[in-house]
This record gives sequence, C-alpha cells and structure tokens, in this order.
Amino acid sequence: MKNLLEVRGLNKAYRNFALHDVSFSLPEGCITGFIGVNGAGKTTTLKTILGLTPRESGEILFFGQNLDKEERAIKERLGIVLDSGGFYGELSLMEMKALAASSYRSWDEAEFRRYLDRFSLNPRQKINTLSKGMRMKYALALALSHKAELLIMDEPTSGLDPLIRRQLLDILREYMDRGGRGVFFSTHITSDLDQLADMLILIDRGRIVFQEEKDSLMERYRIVKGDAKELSDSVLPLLHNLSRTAFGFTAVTDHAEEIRKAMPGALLERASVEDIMLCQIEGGDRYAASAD
Amino acid sequence: MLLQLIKKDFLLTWKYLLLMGALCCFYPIFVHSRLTGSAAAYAGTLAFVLMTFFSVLFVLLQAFQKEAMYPKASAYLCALPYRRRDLVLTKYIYFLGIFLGCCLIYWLETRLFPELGSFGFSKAVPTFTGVCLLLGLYLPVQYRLGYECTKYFFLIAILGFSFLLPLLIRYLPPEALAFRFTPGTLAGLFIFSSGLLAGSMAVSIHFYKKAALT
Repeated sequence: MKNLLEVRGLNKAYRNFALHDVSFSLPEGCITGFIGVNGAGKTTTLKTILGLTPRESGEILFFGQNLDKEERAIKERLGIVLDSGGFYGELSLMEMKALAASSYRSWDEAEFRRYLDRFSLNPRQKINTLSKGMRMKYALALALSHKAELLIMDEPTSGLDPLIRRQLLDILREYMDRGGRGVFFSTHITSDLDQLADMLILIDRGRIVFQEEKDSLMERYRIVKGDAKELSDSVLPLLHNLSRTAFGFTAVTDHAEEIRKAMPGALLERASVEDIMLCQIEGGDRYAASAD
Repeated sequence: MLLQLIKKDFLLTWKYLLLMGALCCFYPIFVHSRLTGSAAAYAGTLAFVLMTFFSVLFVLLQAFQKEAMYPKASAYLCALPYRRRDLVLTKYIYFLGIFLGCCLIYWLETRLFPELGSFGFSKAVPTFTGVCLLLGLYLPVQYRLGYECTKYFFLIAILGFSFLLPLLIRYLPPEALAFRFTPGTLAGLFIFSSGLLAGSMAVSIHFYKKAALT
C-alpha cells in the first residue's frame, strides 16, 4: 500500500508551544483520524504540512513528491476543509466557488452542482448567512469537486449537530468507496472515529504518541471493571485511568490477558477511542474510563 | 486565475469603490466651481491628484480590513493551488486598476467640462509616481506587520507628510507644481515609479511567502 502523505521529523516552535519531531504517514485507502485534545498540535500540524505556516525542519512528501518543490501540483490533488470553512463571508456561494474553482485545472462543475443540490444549498446565498452545518457541507462540496485524492479536514465535525455529523461521515464513506483515496481528519470528538477511522494518530503536547490501525488498538485496549479488593500491587501498573468508587473500580488496560488471569472476576469491555486517547495523554489518567 | 483574485477584491470593496468613484466625479468640478482666476486653472488638477491618492488609500485600507476580518480565508486560498505570489500580485494590479479608473474619470470630465483643462501624461505620470510611492511603501509594510500596525503607521505618516507639504512646495520648482514637465522628466518619473513598484512587489512577495497564516 503506497503512502499518500509522509511527514518526517517535523519541528516547529512558537513562544509557548512546539511540534517536536512529528513523523507519521497516511496509507492509501485509509481514513486516518488525527486525534488529540484542544491545543495538542493538530491544527498546527495540518497548517504546517499544507505550507500555511513555515517550519524549522522536517520533510513533507505528498504522493511521493516533496511539498517544497511541487507545491502547486500537490495541492491540485488535495481537497481542503478548514475549521469553519475559511471563506469570505460577504461573498455568495457561487462567487466563492468561482474563486476556488479557478485555482484547479480539474474542476468538475457538474459534480459541484450535484453536491449543491444534494445539500440543498442556494448558490446565490451569502456565506455569512449559512449555519455552521451548511457551511461545512459547502466546504465539502468545494473540496470534493475536483477529483481530490487526499481529503484533509481540520475539525470538520466540531460544533455540528448529530444529524449533520452523521451525514458528513456518510459522504466520507462514499468518497472512499471510489478507491485509491485517503482522508486525514483531525478531531477532538473521537466518537466520530469509532466507526469511521481505519487508522489513528494521537498527538499530545506537540509529540506523536502513536500511529496505529484502529482495529488493533480496539482489540488491545479494554475497559476493566471489578471489585476494588481485587486490585493488587501486581495489577496496578497494568491499569490506566483507574477510578475507584464504593462499588468497585473502572480502568483501561492494554494487557487484557494478564488482567484476566490475575483478576478472573473482573469484567472486560471494549474501550472507545476516547478511553484510549485519555489513557495515553499527559493528564488524561485523572479521568476514569467512560464506557459502561 | 489572477482575474478571479482581482474579482474577489472588487467584490469585497465595491461599495467603497462606488463611493470613491462618485467623489472622483464630483470633487474636481466642485473645487473648480468655487475658484476663479489663475487658481481655478490648477484647481481641477489638484482635486484629481488628491482624489486619486485618497481613493487608492481608502480602498487599500478597506481591502485589507476585509482580509483582516476573514483571516482564515487567506489561509484557505493558500491551501488551494494558488501561489502566495499570485495573491500579492493581484493586490498591486487591483490598486493600479483603481488609479487607471481615476484617470479615466478625470479624462472624461475634462472632455465634458473643458474649463477643467486638459488631461495627459504631464498630469497622469506624476500622479502615478505618487500612487506608486503609496503602494510601494504601504504593501510591504502591510505584508510584514499586518493590518492594524500598518493602518496606524500610515495614518501617522500621512499626517506627518501634510506638515511637510509647505516645505515641499517651497523647494519644488514652479513647473512641477503647475504639472509642466519635459518628456524626459516624465519618462524618468515613469521608469522610477515602475522600478519602485517592481521592487516593492518583490519585497511584499518575500514577506508573504514567509508569513504564518492563521
């Protein structure tokens, strides 16, 4: 499987925040969730890999091509959805479309019209009169109307109601069904990724914590529930996000087999992406596993 | 491609363009009508120079105010296949277009109201130099420091310049104040202005290429 994006040793420093040696890759045919809490470095990473903000060091390869040398050719093949759109609110949908479309050689007007119809968007409407959900749909229509091979989305579901979020996820599935494509999706709403993502990349305080297939993560991590009396010194190091109550304890583990042997009475359940994220980030271990 | 970027600037500032266009039409005639004798001969030209300068400055401020209102829009455009160079170039082209529009309005006025005098290179080229000085200084500072800092910097600079105006008038040759230039001087002014603008463009592109877009 070839990589649509490879990031190697990316470093970028601000006064109060820095990306440290960020490296990851996006394989073709995968929806990759880029997760982390607010301020972890998701947007900074996305902006840096898109060349919107300069970097101190690191190499960025899209489709095997270097971003510094082939920026324009690479961007022809990317679909971009920025948080809250990134549009001039005073322009109408058609005016903003004309601006975006003229930058692409492979713009497909018929496809764009189909998306407008499907999302019930009025091309004469001003962008600043659109709701957040409609604005996101419009951003998607722009991003998907030029045969993009990699869709990069920054917090696309943030602030959207559950119905629109579900519709967005359906569109992403449809997009992936056409084959040979990829989606890179940054979010702190990890529930969107429980069903959708194939791959997860976790960033915390500017460092990549892990990049792993979601299924193998979900297979490895378990929520553990049991009687607090069963907690011994030998099992405590195997548990994350331990929370004790009068009725028992809840925790997350990535050593399910060892826990089963040590605590035969404990109940092991499937963990969510959020549980896994919280047990891997600094400060997250103060919060109990949420699954019930 | 560049045309759509210019159109974007037009769509964001057309209300101000209309206002300044109306003032460009009205102001030279108004000034001329209030004066008599030898002063009236220069009044229309001075009104044209002032209105051109203020039209460019006013629309310049408005255009960058809109960009500051939608900072993510610039980031979005740069995430598309547009080059940052294109975004800078179109700003220069757009404001030169405003200068040409002002010239066209005044030229039509001199045709309709011959008492305003004639309009030719002797008036257009020195005004072009003034506009190039404004754009040539404003745009690199804007791309380096952003809208807020640049706005105050230029308001102070323009106020300061108005206090220097008496000195300038004292030391400028009377032919210059009367817009009487030899063809050689006009050619020299035009080459100087074009060079200044080209240099300014290169500096603006350099600054914008390194800018971190929010």
